[in-house]
Amino acid sequence: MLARFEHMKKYFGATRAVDDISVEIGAGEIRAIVGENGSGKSTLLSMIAGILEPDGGEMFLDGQAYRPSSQAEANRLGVSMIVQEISTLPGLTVAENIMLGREREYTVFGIRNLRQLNRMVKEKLERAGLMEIQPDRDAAAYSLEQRKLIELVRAADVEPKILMVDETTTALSQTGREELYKLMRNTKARGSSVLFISHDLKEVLSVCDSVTVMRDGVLIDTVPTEGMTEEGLKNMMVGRELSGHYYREDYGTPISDEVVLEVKDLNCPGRFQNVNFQLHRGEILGFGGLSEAGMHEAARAVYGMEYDVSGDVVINGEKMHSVKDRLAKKVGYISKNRDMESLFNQASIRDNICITCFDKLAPKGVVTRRRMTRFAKEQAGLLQVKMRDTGQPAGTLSGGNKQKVALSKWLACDTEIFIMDSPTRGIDVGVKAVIYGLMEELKNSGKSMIIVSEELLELIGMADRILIFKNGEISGEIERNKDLTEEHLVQRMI
Amino acid sequence: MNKETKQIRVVLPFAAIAVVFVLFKILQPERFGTMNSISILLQQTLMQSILGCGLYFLNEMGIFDMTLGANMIISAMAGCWLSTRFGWAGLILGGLLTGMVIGMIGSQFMTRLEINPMIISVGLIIIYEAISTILTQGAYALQVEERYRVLGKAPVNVIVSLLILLLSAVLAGRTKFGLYVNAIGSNAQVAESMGIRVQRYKSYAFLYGGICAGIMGIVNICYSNSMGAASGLSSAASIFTPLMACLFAGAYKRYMNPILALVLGSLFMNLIANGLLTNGLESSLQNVVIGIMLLILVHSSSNSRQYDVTK
Ligand SMILES: Nc1ncnc2c1ncn2[C@@H]1O[C@H](COP(=O)(O)OP(=O)(O)OP(=O)(O)O)[C@@H](O)[C@H]1O
Ligand SMILES: [Mg+2]
Repeated sequence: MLARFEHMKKYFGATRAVDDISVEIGAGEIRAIVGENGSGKSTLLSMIAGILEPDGGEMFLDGQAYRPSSQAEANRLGVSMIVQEISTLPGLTVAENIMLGREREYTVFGIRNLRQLNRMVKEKLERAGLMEIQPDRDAAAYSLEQRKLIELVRAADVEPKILMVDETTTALSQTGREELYKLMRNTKARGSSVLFISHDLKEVLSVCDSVTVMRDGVLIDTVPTEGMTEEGLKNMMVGRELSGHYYREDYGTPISDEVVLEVKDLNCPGRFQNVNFQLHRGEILGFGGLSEAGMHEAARAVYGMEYDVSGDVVINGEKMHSVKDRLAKKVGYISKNRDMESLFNQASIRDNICITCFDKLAPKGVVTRRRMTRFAKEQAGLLQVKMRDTGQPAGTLSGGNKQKVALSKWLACDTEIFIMDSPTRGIDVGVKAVIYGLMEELKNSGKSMIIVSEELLELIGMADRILIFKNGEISGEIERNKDLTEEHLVQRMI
Repeated sequence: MNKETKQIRVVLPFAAIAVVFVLFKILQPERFGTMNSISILLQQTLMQSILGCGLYFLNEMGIFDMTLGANMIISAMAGCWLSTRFGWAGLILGGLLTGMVIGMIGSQFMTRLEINPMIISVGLIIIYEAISTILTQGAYALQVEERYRVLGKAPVNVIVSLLILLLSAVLAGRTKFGLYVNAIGSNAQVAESMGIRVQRYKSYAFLYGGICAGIMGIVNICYSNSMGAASGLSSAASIFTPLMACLFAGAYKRYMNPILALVLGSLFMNLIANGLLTNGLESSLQNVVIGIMLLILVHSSSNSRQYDVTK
């Protein structure tokens, strides 16, 4: 037995995020933690990582009492965590981020030796296969995925006894995922353990030895993955039988000829080149590719948020110049970087949802609080956002629930064209089904969607057409068909 | 950010200073930019930068401590008063210790009370200014003895300023302290969770601010011979230039050492003020021009577009 956590508790006001949970983890074990959004997974791991102080309970590591006062102390004691949100600090270089809290290793007489620091970190990055990341550049200059990989390097570098990974895979492309699995396997091989949170049950069953299921802050059970099925896990998570379909089931449905959005010769030096495509009315267009393929940037550019872009974006025959133009055409964009670009973390859920809908809510310019609350409640209910009330700050929601709010914001305001980057990032299986159902409804009512996703199954299951991005260009196009497999897609991407 | 953009931005403040200088020289070839006036301008800029250094670290963590001006005045007065009893030691240690004590008082208030630092600042300034009036004991100002004045004259004042600037530049760029200040300014919560003692580093910054205020106080009273009491928040107005220079330094820190940027920003503003003065512009209009120039400069530094895109 490597570690034991007994009667762990954490309350936020009336919310019992973690309510008397006891778990044990063996040496060399990869343990998955699954549960619906808001079931307390991140909270439990944050306590172990020294980020949150428990309200009760005891922890033991290697048979000794373990009470970290900060993440840095937990690191020293051999526990490290890759958190669900982004935790690299912009304004600090990559190297400074990776070595934060360990300055002693490159400081002589109080003076930081930057050359030594950068050399040290360069080696670490190279060992992890991340040649394209430069140690002396500001972390803010890198993409979300790269920043996650930087965190990966930081977590692995301390050779932890317990490595915890919170909902990271959906932020990574296939190649990034391989890096992550490699790190997990190495950790296991060293005789250390991994705690792994994921909503992808297939992934859980294939990479983990055992799985702990949580629901509403309490422990349901811990079972070995061998002999377990996705269905069985799902039912344990939700507590009832799940039925009904998941992805779309129609094939060969004709798409309208009407082009609602056309992109001509979109270029952005260093990010993507020669992007041309048309989006039809009622069409779901998927963007797929590996990391740094340029698909996220291209989607941002279609919404007018990238700089130094040349080329045209034409919507309903009109050329677009600014984000405001797009808003007037009822285009909505959901960023992959939800904490920075999709949500007002300090503002209430109500304000977050209502912000896009003021024209609808207040046709005469005035709106009552009551009306906003009712509206927000309705919209949040649609996606089953788990919250105290609509006045709760969005930043205190669980990761998946934040994503739901980011989605509601655009669903609520009669958006005509959705540009969604990783729309179901961090969302549990139950609600994913709801969202896919909603997408299908939207499609049937003539709305159009661009879905950028690292989830290949999502693209295969939902898109009418998939554009494959490779090295910043569209390298191919795949029509929706029954026989499409993940392997097939990956082959086209490499 | 590519190399070229970076180079352009590094050159920009130097170029701006050169352009402004040449412009005024053309407008007033006789009166502007004489050896004497340049020497005074440089001395003032450097001395002012001492206070700027004190403000810088606080600013970077999002603390707007406006009490530093009042702190400087009281430190100068305390040093001056103590010099009559304990000579050199009284002046230097007295000024320095007073600055540190006042800095720590501010730190206690600002890090423990859940009140907006701005409001705490104003409250404390009112108290400090009243104390400064009491310290002058009815006289208009306190004067230092002639023998101490060498501290405020070139080259001593310049050397002291340069030493503080050098120390601050090293602190900002090459020590754990500077790194942690950056981290806290970037995201205090994440920094805390990474094991950085946020409160402790804030206290350090207050202490350093106090030290700078103390040193500035001593140099300043020796430079101008006397130190008058302040009232009506005038001490807060006196830190306007260093504060602006700090904001500029913060915006520019990705291109050069922030302390260098701080000096350049401060030189730029003083140059304009001086030039406008020699051109006979009244002081309120001077401030309008300075404000506009500052906005342009800071805008140019934060307008590095590619950089602002967090993908
Ligand atoms: N700082 C906070 N203040 C108030 N409530 C909080 C705070 N942090 C978490 N919660 C609540 O605690 C509960 C558990 O959240 P947690 O983040 O642990 O869920 P999770 O299982 O990680 O979900 P997800 O799969 O969506 O990431 C949620 O209801 C959340 O709203
Ligand atoms: Mg979570």
